[in-house]
Amino acid sequence: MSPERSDHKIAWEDPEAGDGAYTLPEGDTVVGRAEDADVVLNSPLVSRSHARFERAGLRLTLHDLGSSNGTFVNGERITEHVLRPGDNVRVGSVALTVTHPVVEQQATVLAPAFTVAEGVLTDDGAGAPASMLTAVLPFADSPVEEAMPERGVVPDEMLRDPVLSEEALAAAGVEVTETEYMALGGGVGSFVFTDLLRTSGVAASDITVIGNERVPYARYQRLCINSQIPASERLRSNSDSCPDNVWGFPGYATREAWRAVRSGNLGEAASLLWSIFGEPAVAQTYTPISGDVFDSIDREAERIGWDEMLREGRIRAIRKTDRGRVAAVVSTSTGTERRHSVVAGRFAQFALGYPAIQMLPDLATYREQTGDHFHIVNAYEDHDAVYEHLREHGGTVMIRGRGIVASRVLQKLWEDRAVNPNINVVHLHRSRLAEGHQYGRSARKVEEQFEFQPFNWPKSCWGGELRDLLESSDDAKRAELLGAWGGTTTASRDDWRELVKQGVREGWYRPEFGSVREVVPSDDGRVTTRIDSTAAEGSTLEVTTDFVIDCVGLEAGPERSPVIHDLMEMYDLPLNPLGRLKVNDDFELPGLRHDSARVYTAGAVTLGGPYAAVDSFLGLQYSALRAVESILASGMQPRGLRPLRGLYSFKQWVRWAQGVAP
Amino acid sequence: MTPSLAGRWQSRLFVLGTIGVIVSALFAVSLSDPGVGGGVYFVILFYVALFGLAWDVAFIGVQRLRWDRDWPPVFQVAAGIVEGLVLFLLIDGGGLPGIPEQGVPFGSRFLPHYGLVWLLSFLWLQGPMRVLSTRWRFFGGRLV
Ligand SMILES: Cc1cc2nc3c(=O)[nH]c(=O)nc-3n(C[C@H](O)[C@H](O)[C@H](O)COP(=O)(O)OP(=O)(O)OC[C@H]3O[C@@H](n4cnc5c(N)ncnc54)[C@H](O)[C@@H]3O)c2cc1C
Repeated sequence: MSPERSDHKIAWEDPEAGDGAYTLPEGDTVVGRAEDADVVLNSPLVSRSHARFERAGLRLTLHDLGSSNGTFVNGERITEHVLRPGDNVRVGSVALTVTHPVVEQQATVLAPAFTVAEGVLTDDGAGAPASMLTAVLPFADSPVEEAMPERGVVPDEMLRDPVLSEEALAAAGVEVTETEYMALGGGVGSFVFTDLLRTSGVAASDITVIGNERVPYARYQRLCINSQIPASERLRSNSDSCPDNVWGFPGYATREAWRAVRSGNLGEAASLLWSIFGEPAVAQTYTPISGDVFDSIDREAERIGWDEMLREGRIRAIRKTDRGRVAAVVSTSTGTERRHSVVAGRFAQFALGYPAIQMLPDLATYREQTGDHFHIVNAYEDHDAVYEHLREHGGTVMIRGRGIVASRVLQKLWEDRAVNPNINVVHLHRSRLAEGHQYGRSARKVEEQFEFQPFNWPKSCWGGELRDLLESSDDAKRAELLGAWGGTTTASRDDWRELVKQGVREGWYRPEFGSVREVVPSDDGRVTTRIDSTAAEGSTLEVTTDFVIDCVGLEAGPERSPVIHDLMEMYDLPLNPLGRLKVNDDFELPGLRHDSARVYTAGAVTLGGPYAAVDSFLGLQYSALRAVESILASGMQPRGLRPLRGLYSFKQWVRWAQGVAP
Repeated sequence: MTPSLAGRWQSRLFVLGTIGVIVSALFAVSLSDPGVGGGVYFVILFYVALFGLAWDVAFIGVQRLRWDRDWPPVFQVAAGIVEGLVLFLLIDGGGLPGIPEQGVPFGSRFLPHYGLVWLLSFLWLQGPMRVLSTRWRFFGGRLV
């Protein structure tokens, strides 16, 4: 820690007032033209007693003392303002550079008993090597499995061949099951694909779902809970994005309003309907309650016979077979042994979710070097221990990332402050966000360093002009458009905006700006982040906090999923400019097309292709719709499948409304 | 909703060609004025469609000023009011082919007819439309 950075300082260079600098003591410092001001600024636009700095520990507040020409922070006239690093201060016509001290707060020594719980999201990754876990949160597929007797294993040399011989499989005693449609993954993407097949006339007996979870939203729900969306919280999702209903009608808002009407809550019903009527222009955007979405999926799963179609197991490989089909090599653990088998069919869609979520590289390095998983956590892993500790002992948390997850974590910390007011937050940003992303003649709104947008893409990416545009663009243009429309944003929720403002006002929330050079353990057992500050050019800032929460949610590329990696190698699958799987406009992988088989995919692994919002309920439905249309158009006489439109669609909708099987 | 221009045109023609025709027929049968005839409702419907094609171009321009390129229902209401008023002024000003000399009374004829066509179309497009076409909402309101 450099000594000259341990104080609050002001400095100025002004043609009239001259150059100067002043270290602000604890308490008040008056700035003005009068001789007896603490800091004399001799400039005609400065009043005699113009402004007052009030320093209380780390907190620095600027007050205007009724000056004639005003005191400004970042161009806005203020009467009272808590200063933050990077703020531009102007007193009359004189610009002041304010430097803030290095943050060094009271030591909170952590009991050594706090070691990290196996908080990392793995499916069955007990015993995974520490270095794997520190760098990445793998959950598409855990790298290590428990040892147990294996039964019916597909011999390795057979898997080395890009075309699997079905006869040889039989000869090797491997069980081969036949099916028409395969939904591989068994998560939300597989669910909406299966749901569409079922509503389009396919019998449950013609579909095999393979996944390592019993309920389709199991992993999704875990990610939600870890990132602070309990069942009672609202998601960031449109009313009409209904994984349980391909038509998106009636949407969640209407259903919620109907429930409110039935329980006599007319005011609430009206306010829900008002949201979807006016959003986002004149009303706050409606989003459904997480628990409602899960319940609706449960109901639909039951209706379409999910359990009957599901084969629990782990997909080990996907192959073309010599009978022109596509096959999944599966293993199912019974607890005492692992049984291997093969499922072969004509139409497959795999939706394996995020291959992995990565820690920010500097945090990954810290974890790897120290083995400390307690002070530094990823918001997507189970990190309740952090909040428990904070509620009991107080402390300072550094938040990295400014997206929706950061908002949720902040909300959680705000709630915990009600229990223990000694919780402080430092929010680290790479640079100051002056204005939001711009595209054409429109721009996103920015407030307190958060950039707002109802969903993670402009709405019309789901089904409007921007969808059309992206699909009709070439690879390079797509990458450019995605760059313009994407970026990190959060929802403009009134409660979130208010709590950030409150935090700023009360001084327990403070943004810092700069890029991280390194993260190291501090002497007192906490974590020090060394930052190349952008607020004071060329200086290093050291911020020591009790915890760092990585809210960035860096997604790993498709090669981190063993199954996809293997597919990429075996069939030389091309990647798109964003490094994800290249699919055609129907979400098919042309490289896996076979005599009488088609393979499609969906979800995050396809970002960079024809559609922006691939990782969303509605986007998954869109991918499913395209895949099913393409299957229908293949001329391969897919069993049971009918176009879902017109009267047939209406009939299916009525069945949905009645809750009877499709 | 996030309609595209082609989607707006197609959806407009679709709802006017179905809901609009049915409602106009009902009006023609039950509220036909002597000397004017029930056909005037179809003429009005025709103008709603015709001018609407131009309005849609303007509305798309407004959408492009919005980050989300969306068209919230509240905008749809405002658009319906503006379109209706302008159409009535044109009718009242006279000179539109097919409209009787004396014009069409606002409160007793124009408003109920235009209003009902608009309201039913609006409600239809807020959801039921998707039941007939699962693609509709993903393709900016296009039907083909
Ligand atoms: C916290 C959070 C909140 C979100 N909120 C919303 C929202 O509100 N609205 C919205 O539209 N979208 C939301 N999303 C985005 C998206 O809708 C979900 O992530 C959704 O779960 C993606 O579905 P998926 O099928 O791609 O992946 P998943 O639902 O994760 O399914 C993939 C499945 O594949 C399984 N699997 C992987 N590899 C194998 C293998 N080798 N063998 C067997 N099984 C395997 C996994 O176990 C998993 O069950 C959210 C995402 C996150 C992380």
